Amino acid sequence: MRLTKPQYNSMTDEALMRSVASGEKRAFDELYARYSGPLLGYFMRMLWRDREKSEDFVHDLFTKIIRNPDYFDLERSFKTWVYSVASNMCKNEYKKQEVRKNTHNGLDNHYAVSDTNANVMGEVQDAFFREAFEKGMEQLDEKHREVFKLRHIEGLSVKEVAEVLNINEGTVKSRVFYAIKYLSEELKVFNPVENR
Amino acid sequence: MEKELTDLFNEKRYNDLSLEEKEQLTDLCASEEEFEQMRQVFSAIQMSKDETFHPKKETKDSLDELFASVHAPQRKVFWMQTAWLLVYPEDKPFIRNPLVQFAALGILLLLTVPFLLQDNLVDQKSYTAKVEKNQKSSVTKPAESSAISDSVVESTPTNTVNNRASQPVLASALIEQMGQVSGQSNDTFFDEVARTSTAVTEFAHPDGEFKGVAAAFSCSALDQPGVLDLITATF
Repeated sequence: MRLTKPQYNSMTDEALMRSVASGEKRAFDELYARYSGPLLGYFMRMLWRDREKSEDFVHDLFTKIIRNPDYFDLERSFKTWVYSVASNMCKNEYKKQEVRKNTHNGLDNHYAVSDTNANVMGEVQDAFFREAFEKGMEQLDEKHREVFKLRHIEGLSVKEVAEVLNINEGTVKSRVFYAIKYLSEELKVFNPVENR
Repeated sequence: MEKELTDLFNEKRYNDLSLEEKEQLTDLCASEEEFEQMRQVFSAIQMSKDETFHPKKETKDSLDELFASVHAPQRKVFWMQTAWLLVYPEDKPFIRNPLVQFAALGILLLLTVPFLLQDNLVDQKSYTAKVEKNQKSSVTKPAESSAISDSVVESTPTNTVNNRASQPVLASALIEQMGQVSGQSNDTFFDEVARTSTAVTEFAHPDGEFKGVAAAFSCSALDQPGVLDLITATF
């Protein structure tokens, strides 16, 4: 039996998950502090920067962790597990949106809300650049976009991405390569060499 | 490998690349133009990475409430389970479980303590009975002589006082023992000694020293006037 209080901030994600399953609130707080921000960012990027929806998805994901901690296989990495759950949630959302797209008036409301209100030229330039990048990512097909975001935005290793998406590492590398090539073409207009 | 490529794009210009590094990048970019395009992509990635998100406080509050509602009833059960596992861990052999060991110790104490108490009582009773008996006999005729067996009490400077305290008991016990050895015969000498003498551990009685069959007896000259006659005759 432990005689001292556990140091949650030095515990691994898997150990924290074990503690969460046994009802330790502080372990849950630590896990939330570690993953809520990155997961919100992931959902924001995957769900057309819809803040409300992304918040709801973060809430839903942590609800799953609270209600069904046994779903997590302790032999697996928590990081890959949580991103695979997030990825599946996004896929389900895409399917829902696909159904709606076939019924709505054709207006794309994904970029309806824009918070870029910069007056400075540099900021405008940055905003355009970022928007072009985001747009380029959205234009990628789902399998390439997903791999690219997990690898380069969320910072997962090739092996972890392969685990999350249940594909082999070679496929991850080729998809990342394709995505980078595609995005570089999309951002060509911002290329200083091209514009000389 | 991947990390190194990212570093190359983020940290170096095309002209700063070595030949080896350019060879590394041939799959992704073959010219300066392509290299710069890649740089654009990686700088955009960096911008996206730098973007930090913090969920709303309401989200956390709602999750905290949910956590409390899901785990609160389990907490009591959890502690009970923990306490049970502490005294009866399932992974240990039956005999090594603390609960079993405590139970065994308890049974052992229950069985032994009454016997120990009983022995003490018997000892105390027999001791007091003998003391009373000797006191009665000493009231009728005060005894100053004593008897002791070398085999029963060993005299040392340190236990002299203790041995003196147990003199009446030792003397009477010795006499009883001797009586048994001699076939319960009514030997008047020993009866007399048992009645009047007390055991001493030092053979330095001022009035004289007597050796019996297996023990030395010391009697007061007042009780044995004949001894004085012997002494007179000697000197």
